[in-house]
Amino acid sequence: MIKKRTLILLAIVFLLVGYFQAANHSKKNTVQNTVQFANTEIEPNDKITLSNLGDIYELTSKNITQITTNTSLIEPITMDKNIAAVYKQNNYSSLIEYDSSGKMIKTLFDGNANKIDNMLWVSDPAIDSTKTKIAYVSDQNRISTNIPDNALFILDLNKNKTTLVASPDHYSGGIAHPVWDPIDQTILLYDYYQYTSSTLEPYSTIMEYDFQTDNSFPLTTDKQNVLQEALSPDGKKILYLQRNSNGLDVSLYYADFSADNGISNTVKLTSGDYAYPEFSNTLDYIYYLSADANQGYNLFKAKIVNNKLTAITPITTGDSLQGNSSYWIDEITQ
Amino acid sequence: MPQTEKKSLPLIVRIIICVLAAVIFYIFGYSLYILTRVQQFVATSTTQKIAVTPPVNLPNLSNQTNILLLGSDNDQKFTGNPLTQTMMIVHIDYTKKEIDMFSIPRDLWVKMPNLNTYGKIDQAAEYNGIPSAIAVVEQTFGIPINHYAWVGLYGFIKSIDAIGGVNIDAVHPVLDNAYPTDIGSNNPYGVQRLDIQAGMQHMDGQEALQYVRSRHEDLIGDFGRTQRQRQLLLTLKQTLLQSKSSLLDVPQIFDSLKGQIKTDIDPLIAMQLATFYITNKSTIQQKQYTLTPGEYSQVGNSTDGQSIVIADPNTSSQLVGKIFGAKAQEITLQSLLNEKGIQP
Repeated sequence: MIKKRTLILLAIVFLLVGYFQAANHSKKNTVQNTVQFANTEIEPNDKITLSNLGDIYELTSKNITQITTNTSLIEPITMDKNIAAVYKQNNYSSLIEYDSSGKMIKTLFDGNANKIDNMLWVSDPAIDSTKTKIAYVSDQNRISTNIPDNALFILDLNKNKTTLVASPDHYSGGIAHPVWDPIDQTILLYDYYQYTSSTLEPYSTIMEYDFQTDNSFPLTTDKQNVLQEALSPDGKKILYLQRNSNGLDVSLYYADFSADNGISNTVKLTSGDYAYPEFSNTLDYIYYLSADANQGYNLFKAKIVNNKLTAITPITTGDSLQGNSSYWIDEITQ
Repeated sequence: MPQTEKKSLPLIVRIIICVLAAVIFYIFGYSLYILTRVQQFVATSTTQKIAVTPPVNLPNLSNQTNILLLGSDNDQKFTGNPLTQTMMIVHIDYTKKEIDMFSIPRDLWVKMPNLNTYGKIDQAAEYNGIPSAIAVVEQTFGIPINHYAWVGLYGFIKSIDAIGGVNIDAVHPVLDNAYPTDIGSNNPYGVQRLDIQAGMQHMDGQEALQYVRSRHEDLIGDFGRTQRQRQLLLTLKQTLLQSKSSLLDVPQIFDSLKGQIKTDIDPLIAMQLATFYITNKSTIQQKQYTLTPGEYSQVGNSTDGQSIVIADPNTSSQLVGKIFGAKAQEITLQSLLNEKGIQP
């Protein structure tokens, strides 16, 4: 028979254990970065290049390769043999090319003018399937202030020449996220941010730019309010996000696409906290960033079966990817 | 006389009781620590409920609560009381199960409380701090402010970081060539260039502050900023509800916020508000309002050359009436009709 005194003592012990465990818990540092790559889940013919904590990684189903270290790089793209990524600093950003060992090769776009009044931004790089042209977004006119004038440019790597392709009007919110048609290099999609004239609510549309006619036209409406589109490797399907009316999260849509007829047969795949959907090079598979109850985003893979997301598989686990970055997918040819 | 044998519980039952008791005492100890820390936080954060003499006969809103949320340019940058650059009224109607968020443009031209002068509404706090900010809102919109919560820049950053950041959809690219670099700097007038890409992204405290504070290259200026501020508040609420963080993280969160927030909302009131929200989450209607230029206001100039927001007395008071009721509409109309110091 346990004595009453012993029981009271045990109660006090448990009470103190609870108290001090709470105190210990409160001292723990929440800022950790233990993102882990479940790379074996990547489709065998995909190579994913992504940024985490400013470093660039290449992931395949067989390997994880860290390309750069301590580089403050985001938004990677892969060139013919090298990679390029945005080097983002407080007042400017540059687009820099690195070789596969992480050695800097050259600056493709230099935003650092050493004087704050002349510094520039570069963001959202996207390279075409011939690996000769990089579309990117940058300030159209650095001198004009109080105007969101991020415009769309093309850097021709063969000619080393930059061309302004599309400009926002002065009553818009600017341009973002260019996406090349993988099959037809005369077609480029991008997001165009504007405001409704009545309530001045911001929204974005997917625009299609045709290099043959030098014209842009919208593929979606203001009410749809869509962003971050991606085209399938055959150029016949499109994924995009649509802002939900709650103003907080988005829905992921999947549809047919053709340069002539635009977007059709739209299907909603899911709704929630998602970003940057991309197609795999394996038919019916896609990748996307999802919060998945984390505070940030992790990369996931899923299969579209009967217009539904199935076989949802994490590619990164643990803590979120750090860096708010789009990622790039290439096809591994055997 | 035969002794009656004491019936003892079976061993398994006794073990279960002991384990349960241990768990209960453990939880009690844990909770005790959390409560102690909350109490410490409240002691450092709560300022006395401010008695403001209502300049007008404010309507008695039964079963409703108005909370004034205030955000200041900086906690330590200037001596004296800082401007309240963010002013938002959260109106809770417990009967209708409605929560309205009414953003007030910082440049709104109003009569200063207890003074015969006019100025931007964010300047009211310069006179006598939070009491003046509350008074100017009560006077202009004819509503009682039941509670307030103030947060400065550091407090804002720490609040967001304490919950591990937020996932937020930047509703358009934010480019700012003159974003202030006054945090951790000796130069209160320093600026930097800012570029926030549009779309879904994860932001830490610093980035979230940049997103809601920048206004120079937003096409709709301060109105765009208030839209982003409301969006962040809603996102924060969503984040807290869905967060993996739990009661276990409370001490750490409160530790990081100590001294960074001023409010008269004590734990009991906070509990009541949270209970109302959680129990009615599925039925609560949430609406957001602001004095949108064109419909409710226009941008103009004061006679002393300041760029200001001039409310349309008719449409603005109707909007106020829709949120707060007829009496508030009447007072708002009167207060806005008599505006002075505006360039014709």
